[in-house]
Amino acid sequence: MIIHQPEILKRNDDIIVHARIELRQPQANFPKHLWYKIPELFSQHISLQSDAFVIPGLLAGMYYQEDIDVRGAVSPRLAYQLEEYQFLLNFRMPNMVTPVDIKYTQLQALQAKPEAVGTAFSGGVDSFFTLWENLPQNQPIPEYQITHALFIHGYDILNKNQSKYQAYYSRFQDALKQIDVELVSMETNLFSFIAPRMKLNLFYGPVLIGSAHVLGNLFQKFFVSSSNDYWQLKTWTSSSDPTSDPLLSTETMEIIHYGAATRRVEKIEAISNWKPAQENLRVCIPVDLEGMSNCSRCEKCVRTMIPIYALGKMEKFTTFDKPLRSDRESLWWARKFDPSKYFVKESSGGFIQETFDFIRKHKPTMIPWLRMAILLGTIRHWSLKLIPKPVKKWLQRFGYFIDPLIQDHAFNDPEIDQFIESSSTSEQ
Amino acid sequence: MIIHQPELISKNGYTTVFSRTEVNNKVGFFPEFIWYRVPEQYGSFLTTQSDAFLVPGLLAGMYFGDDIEVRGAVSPMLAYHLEEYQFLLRFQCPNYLNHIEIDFERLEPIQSTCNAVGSTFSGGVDSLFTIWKHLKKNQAMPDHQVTHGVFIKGFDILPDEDQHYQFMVEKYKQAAAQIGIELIPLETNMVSIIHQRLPLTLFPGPIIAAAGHALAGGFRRFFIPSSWDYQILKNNSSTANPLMDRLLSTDTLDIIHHGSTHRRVDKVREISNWEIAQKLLWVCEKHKFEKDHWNCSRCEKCLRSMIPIYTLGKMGAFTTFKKPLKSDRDLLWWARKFSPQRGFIREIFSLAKEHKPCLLPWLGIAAALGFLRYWLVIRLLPGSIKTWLRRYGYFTARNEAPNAYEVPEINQYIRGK
Repeated sequence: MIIHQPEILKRNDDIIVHARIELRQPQANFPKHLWYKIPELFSQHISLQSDAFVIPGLLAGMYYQEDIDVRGAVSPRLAYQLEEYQFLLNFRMPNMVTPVDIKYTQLQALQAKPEAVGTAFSGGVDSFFTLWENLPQNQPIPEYQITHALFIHGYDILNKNQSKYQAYYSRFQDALKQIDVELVSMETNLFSFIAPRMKLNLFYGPVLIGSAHVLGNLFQKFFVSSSNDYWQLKTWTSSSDPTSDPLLSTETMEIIHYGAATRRVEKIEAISNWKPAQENLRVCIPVDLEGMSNCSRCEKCVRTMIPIYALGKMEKFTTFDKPLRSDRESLWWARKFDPSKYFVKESSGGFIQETFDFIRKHKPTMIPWLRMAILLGTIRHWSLKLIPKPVKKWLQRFGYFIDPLIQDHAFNDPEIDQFIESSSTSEQ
Repeated sequence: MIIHQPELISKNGYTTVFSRTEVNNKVGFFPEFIWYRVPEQYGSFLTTQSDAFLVPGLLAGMYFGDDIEVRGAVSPMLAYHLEEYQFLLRFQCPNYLNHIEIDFERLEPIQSTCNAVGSTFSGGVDSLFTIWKHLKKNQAMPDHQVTHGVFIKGFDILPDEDQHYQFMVEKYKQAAAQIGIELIPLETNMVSIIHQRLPLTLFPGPIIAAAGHALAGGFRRFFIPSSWDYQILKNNSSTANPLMDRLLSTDTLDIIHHGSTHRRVDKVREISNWEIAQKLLWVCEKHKFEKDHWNCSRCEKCLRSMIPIYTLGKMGAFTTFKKPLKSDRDLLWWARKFSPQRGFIREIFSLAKEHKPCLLPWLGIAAALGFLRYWLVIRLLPGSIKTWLRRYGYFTARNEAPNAYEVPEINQYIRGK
């Protein structure tokens, strides 16, 4: 696999940074270019190092077991650590990725002194918590106070949903402006590398961090918010955790995986009185859903609403379509309940223990309803598991059992691909 | 707890950096000063930054539940990560420590450009492997090539073993010169802080990292060789691991826990053809230090190291074992001090299966006898009998004195400064 020298193109008010990727064994639906689109406003912060391409490119190389030839400059520190990073990916997901050799044409650190502190920002509980904890009023060390938030299009909002992304961008921009944090917009096709091949929930780490490296001249520190806490990480596996993410740091950018020491319910409690979170929280799972609010019925919406309701803050959180209004309504939990997220080997691991401990402390009257929801939810979950495949296939014509992530161009923008092909010098 | 501003003294060919420590709730012996001492030629590596005192001091503060006031400069990066570090210490080893507050008088990094790359150098399998991997010929990244090895007195070698220490220093210096690195002998009493309070086997991480901080005036990178690989770390708790050690990095010092990607037998395999390792390896827990043979060959660690060496057919090349394994049957010695506690057993069997399957029956018998001995002698023997046996030298440790890690004359000249 060859990762070519990154190039810059200008398109309207945007800058596109891209690198051509060549697989030795061509694969169907594999993107020809990796690209990032950034507003021209940030053009002076763009890095032409290959760091932003080698990190996600590594996943493809490891998946297809192709050694990698990087034809641009890579940070020596990153290059050194990629060996251990590869080991960890393979150690955790041995059946999906295999270590490969990487040949570097040029090992050179970025010649810049970036000053900003960034965080990946999706509007969810984890990213709001990271932001909250690292604002000047809560973080006394100036070097760690967040100044910029990176909102990525092509991650949990599909590339084709332009209007949805724009609407969220405007909303988040206004909210963050009030706390002196600048929202940076970025679109990428990184996930088209991964989506049909590997599980997104396992391999999102390199995507978030790869995106930060494009703005290597901007970020001296970059936070990746943890999805799983230390208790869960004892059992659950992922490419993004406090051990592996910092291995993607360079000489000029420290990558910090933040928040694994705090349980999700505690994060919700920490941000529950904070107006920007109350008015902008976005947790809803369906990635192709249009609209600007949380459906309030998916697993993640209900999992988030339960502690908010228990804290008596439900009416303050204005982004839920159908907020919980009574203890009985927590039965909605059953509707999309996924036992694998709740019951794990470690007794303190999944979300079940923390949810119950929290509810017992704040609103014990909910406990019987939650127990009933779990019972019903588990029955529902197993009933669905037992539906024969042909029946599931038949139900797809009515919109059930469809994975929106494997639709054509879910994570790509054909217009940008075309633009790169027609403009890039490496295509000549 | 107050950690005072560190100070430097040069005397008798040595440079010492020390900090006075005051504890509010102390019980038992607690050192008045924490100090680090190096030969004067390495004096410029020592700094008056408080990082090297705060990191081990944190363990004492957390043990006593005593908030810390640091009266010197601390790296902002270190200060930031200590919050998560405290969480992890308690998460990894619950019931030992309390969460405390730290008040920093000054947050600022060391103002110097450091270029050296250090690694601890104890002469064991892990440190030899780390150094081997970072020699010029094996490490393509120049800024990760090791330039200095640090051999600590006051960690696994006690201050009263000075003769042995000096003996090893000479051996290591010669070896280091052959591979183009310098050896820094570092003496310290920092283990005194946790001695007889916290088990050193569970809390080595902050102690070793602090040795790197002490020399941060010269180092920009410091390797801590891993004792456990990722497989063992998955099922066992330790405060020395790739995640936690990295959190002790500062703005100018990158701390890297190296080698968890390799099982111990793989490390032995990697260094088995390296002459320096063959002539130098020191793994013994007995500390007898006989001339030319400083490994007793009968303790658990000696056997755990000799078995893969023998399996690889390199026993003859490794000259530091007093009684090297000579036949397959000799593997039965493994039973004598066998410990099933750590996850090294499976990897030894795997290696034997791959390289010398005829060893498997002997290993099987040794493990079975070893298990039996372990449960009967170590686990089920009543405490009173163990106490009685101590008068015959069993169930004793070298470091039983409360001040085992102290050097009175150094404390005296610090006081007299």
